[in-house]
Amino acid sequence: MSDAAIEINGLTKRYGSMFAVNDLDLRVNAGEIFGFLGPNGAGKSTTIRILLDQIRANDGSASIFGRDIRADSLEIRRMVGYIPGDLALYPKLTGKQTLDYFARLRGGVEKSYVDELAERLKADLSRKVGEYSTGNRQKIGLIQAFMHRPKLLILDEPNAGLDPLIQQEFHSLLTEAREAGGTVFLSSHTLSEVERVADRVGIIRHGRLIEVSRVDELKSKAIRRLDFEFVEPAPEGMFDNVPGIRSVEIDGVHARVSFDGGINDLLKAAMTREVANLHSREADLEEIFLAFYRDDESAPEPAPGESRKGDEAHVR
Amino acid sequence: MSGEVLANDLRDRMGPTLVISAVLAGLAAFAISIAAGLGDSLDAMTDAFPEAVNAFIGADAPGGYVVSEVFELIAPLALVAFAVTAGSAVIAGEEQRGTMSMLIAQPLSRSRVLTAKAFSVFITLAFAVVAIWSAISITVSIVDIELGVSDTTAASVHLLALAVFFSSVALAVGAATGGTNLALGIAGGLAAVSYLVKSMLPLAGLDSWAQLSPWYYYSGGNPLVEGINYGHIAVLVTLTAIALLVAYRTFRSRDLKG
Repeated sequence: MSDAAIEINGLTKRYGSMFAVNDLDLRVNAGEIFGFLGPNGAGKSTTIRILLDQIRANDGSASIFGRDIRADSLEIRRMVGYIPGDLALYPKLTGKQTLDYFARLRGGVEKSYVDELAERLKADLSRKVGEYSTGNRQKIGLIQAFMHRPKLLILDEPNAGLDPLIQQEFHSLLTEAREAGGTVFLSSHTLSEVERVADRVGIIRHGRLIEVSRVDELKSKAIRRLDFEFVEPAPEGMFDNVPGIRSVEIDGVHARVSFDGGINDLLKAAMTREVANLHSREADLEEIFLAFYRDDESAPEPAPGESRKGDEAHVR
Repeated sequence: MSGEVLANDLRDRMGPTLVISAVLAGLAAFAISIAAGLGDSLDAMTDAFPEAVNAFIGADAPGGYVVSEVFELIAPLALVAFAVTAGSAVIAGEEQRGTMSMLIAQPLSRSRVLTAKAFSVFITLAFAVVAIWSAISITVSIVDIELGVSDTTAASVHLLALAVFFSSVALAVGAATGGTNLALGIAGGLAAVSYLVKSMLPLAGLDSWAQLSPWYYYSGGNPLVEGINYGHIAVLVTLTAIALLVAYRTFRSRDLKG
């Protein structure tokens, strides 16, 4: 088991009767980019902060490169580059002073590499952090996480406020880190942020890990979609007894059905009416992701661009 | 201790430190110049007061009523307020601003962070006290007043010990809870209540109860006249050590905010 970057066993964190993290098991292999996905409040940041010994678990254990997160925390923090989900910096310091400060605290940071990172992320280091936009502040946080070439990057919602071009550069940095033998643990509440770079993803909800799989597996086993157009308005509940159905939206003559498993039963159910047209679409990961959350009370907002008007979908 | 954290904290607090040092130093110098100018007429006035009143307002201190005002009232109240604010801000403030998460993600133990932050507060307070001491020492060498440098030094040492103690209480509450307002409230409240205990109970004939107050160990031994009271300093240092011990133990074991 020596090639595990992160190994979590039965990790539990309670606040009163509320479980922020509930009996979580997870293994992140050395050398992979792992996407840690979940809606806000699912327990991602809590898990990360336990790994960094900022908060303490009620139960369970975890290790990073075989070192215990409590007893060997200092050694672990030497190997880890971290950006918190709620990044705050010292408003009176300039970007450069901020990075100098963290570089001195850490030691062994090459100035030339800091400059290179700043250039690649187009970060303005000259002004005071208090005057920065969210995006620029985030860039300072990212440079700080990368600047000592850590063995493990733990990045909590690192994309906040970055424009698309910078996100692309950031993704290049992640893949370069992996090529250089590094490991990346990348948390996010939107799948699109991680699907391009992650090798595997884990999905966490209500503090529990509900799915871990390779991104391509997740895509293949997952949900497909058929859009039917009927000649006459389709009745509610016409797909109710079809196995494998994940969600159904019926709007007049149109029905949008997400399903996994076999297609035959679904087609049989549809053929009870006269079908005018039929479209098949490969589900994008956002949809898979949503399907995991749909029965979540605090389901996230639909992804941008995805209309949920007249949404009557329900999940079995 | 981390020298980098210490330096960053000192830089962060430089503005307010310079302001309060300059204001208190200026005020002390001004008050003593006035006292020297008024000299005889003030003495004549206080001589006519009953002895108990003079004892209460400190008119029998070296330099008389005005110097006593500086050391009994203005300097300690202002400096203790500053000490409580600074003590609340260093740990709890860092959490409230959300910067603790980044700071503590560096390879620094919590104890090292706490030590650096405690020292930064103490250095700040020492700077302010030295500023006041310098202003008074320079002023008394210029104007004609019955106040020696050694009197000033003794009162200043007690002033520093008092301010360090209250800053440590604020630091401890902040380190234990992560709440700036809670630290301000508890340490500030303790300072205010214990000030009343020290100054009011003796008027009610409850002199010995006044010894419960940390303020008693600041001026109860009358350091302006009697010099440094090492026993009293030891009490303040012990109380400070207890507060710091609480700070270390609680800060090491709790969940950090932001």
